[in-house]
Amino acid sequence: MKRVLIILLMVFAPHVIAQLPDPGNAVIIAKLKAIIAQNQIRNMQLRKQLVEALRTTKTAINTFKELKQFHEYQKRVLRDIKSLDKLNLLNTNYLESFILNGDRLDFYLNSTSRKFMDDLYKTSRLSRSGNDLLEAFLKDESGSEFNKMDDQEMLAFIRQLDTESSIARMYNVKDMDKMFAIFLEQAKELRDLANDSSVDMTPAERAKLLVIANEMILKGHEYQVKAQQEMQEFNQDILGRVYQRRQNENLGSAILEYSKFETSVQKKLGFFDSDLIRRENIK
Amino acid sequence: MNVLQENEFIYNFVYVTLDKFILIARVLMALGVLVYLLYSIFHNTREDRADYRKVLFKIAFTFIALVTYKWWTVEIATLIIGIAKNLDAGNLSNIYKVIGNAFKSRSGIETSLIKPDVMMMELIYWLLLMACLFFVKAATLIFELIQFFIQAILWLLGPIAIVISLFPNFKDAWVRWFNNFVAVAFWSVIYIILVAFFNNLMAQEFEQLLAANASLNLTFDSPIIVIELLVYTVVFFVSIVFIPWYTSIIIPGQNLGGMASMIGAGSLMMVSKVIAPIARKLQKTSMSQKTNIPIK
Repeated sequence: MKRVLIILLMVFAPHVIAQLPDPGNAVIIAKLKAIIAQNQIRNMQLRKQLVEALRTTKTAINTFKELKQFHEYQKRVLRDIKSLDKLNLLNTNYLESFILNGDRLDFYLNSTSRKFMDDLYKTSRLSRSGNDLLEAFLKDESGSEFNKMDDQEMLAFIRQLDTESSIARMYNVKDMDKMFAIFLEQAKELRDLANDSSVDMTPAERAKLLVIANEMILKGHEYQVKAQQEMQEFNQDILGRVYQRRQNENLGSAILEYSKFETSVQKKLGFFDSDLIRRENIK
Repeated sequence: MNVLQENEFIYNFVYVTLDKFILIARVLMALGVLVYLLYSIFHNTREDRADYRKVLFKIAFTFIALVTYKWWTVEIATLIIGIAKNLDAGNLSNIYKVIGNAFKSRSGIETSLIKPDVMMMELIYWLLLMACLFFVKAATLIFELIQFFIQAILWLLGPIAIVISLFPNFKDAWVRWFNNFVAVAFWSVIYIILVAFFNNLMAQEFEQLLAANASLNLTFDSPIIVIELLVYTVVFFVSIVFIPWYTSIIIPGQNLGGMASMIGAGSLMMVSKVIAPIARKLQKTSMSQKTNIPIK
């Protein structure tokens, strides 16, 4: 359908088009450019909104999780209380279990303790996985490991670093990649059209189409280069942030160790508070 | 400053010189006893003329003090150190703990990459914190150095101060020296109390900073807290360095500058007072020889 429309245009329009002024200076195109610029501004605003939304949702999710957790714990405690109500020590089975496990907390608060242990395990696993990720990333200084990641993994990693602005930046890079793909598709279509012998066209028109296709490819290539540059900067930023983070942690731990050293060494006051002072006993 | 207290060279040097000073003091003691007796005999007014029991008591007391010098000085000094260590509530390391935790909590929070003004604020903020730490450390260092060396020098000068008190017009020397000795040992008590007080104040401020840091309201609240901290540190610095002045209020009569002037003036007075009667008598004899009047 598209091709038919284009052919119809190419057949009927050339005489009309030839009499028009240069389309680069046309009012419509200028308006279109303005619209595109407006759209870009709007996109930026949308991105900012997205970042804010991410921030608010984060807090909302956290509160929701806490409330949910609290509710679950409440339920489990109630269940445990009910089971304790049912405990009948005149029954020999219950009595036996009471004698065997009476000194353990699990016996009285069975389900809550299980839930607590589960949560502990989950948190420890989370922290461990985060540390593994960081270490794996830091092994390669060029950040090639970072490039190998999936999109979801990358997002998870960036969220670990608490960098909303970097997420917005990544979306920008992705948009540029998309632009490149669109330009390439259009160029391919034009080239196919130019090489299609079944369509009736003058060789000059075919040459024009090929030239337009080449221009599109060049434009797409520009976008690709831009995207690559952005990606490189992005990687460098992330690396710098990771480096700073590690440096901060090292500094903090160093200061804490120094404080430990200070507390361990007993303070000496003045000249006479020394082991080298000889104390004489007079009997 | 445990480096000084663990330095064997300083202590060996001090002990060797102290032995030398005690030797000099023994020689001076013999001279002092003679001068003291002469003074008590030749003194003009009857009120000041010495009671011989008093004289003997003073000579015996100075002798015993000189012999047991190394024992009683060390005992007094260590007693006051024990008092100071009982009052020791905490070290300055609380501040280091808070700063360390702040650094650790700051990791992974991004603010500086977008806003240059915030970046500058943060830079100034950390510089001010480091300046606070530097001031606190410098005050303690200066104080401990001064105390260590003044105490050592006082301990060395002790035997001579004891013996010199036998000479006329040096009666106050021993008392003054003792006042100084106790006061310098007492500095550490005041030092410990002040450090505990300021440590609490500063730890509160640092905890506020930590809370601001965690809630990312760092740029708006922190300057006031940091300025407060700076004021506290300056007051800490001044109060620690001026500890000798406080002790002069608590223990009157301790004046390290006055010691030297007193020794100078006292020696002149002593020379005049001891030699003047002898000179007068010599003058009388010479006059009598000239006029051929016999002396009764």
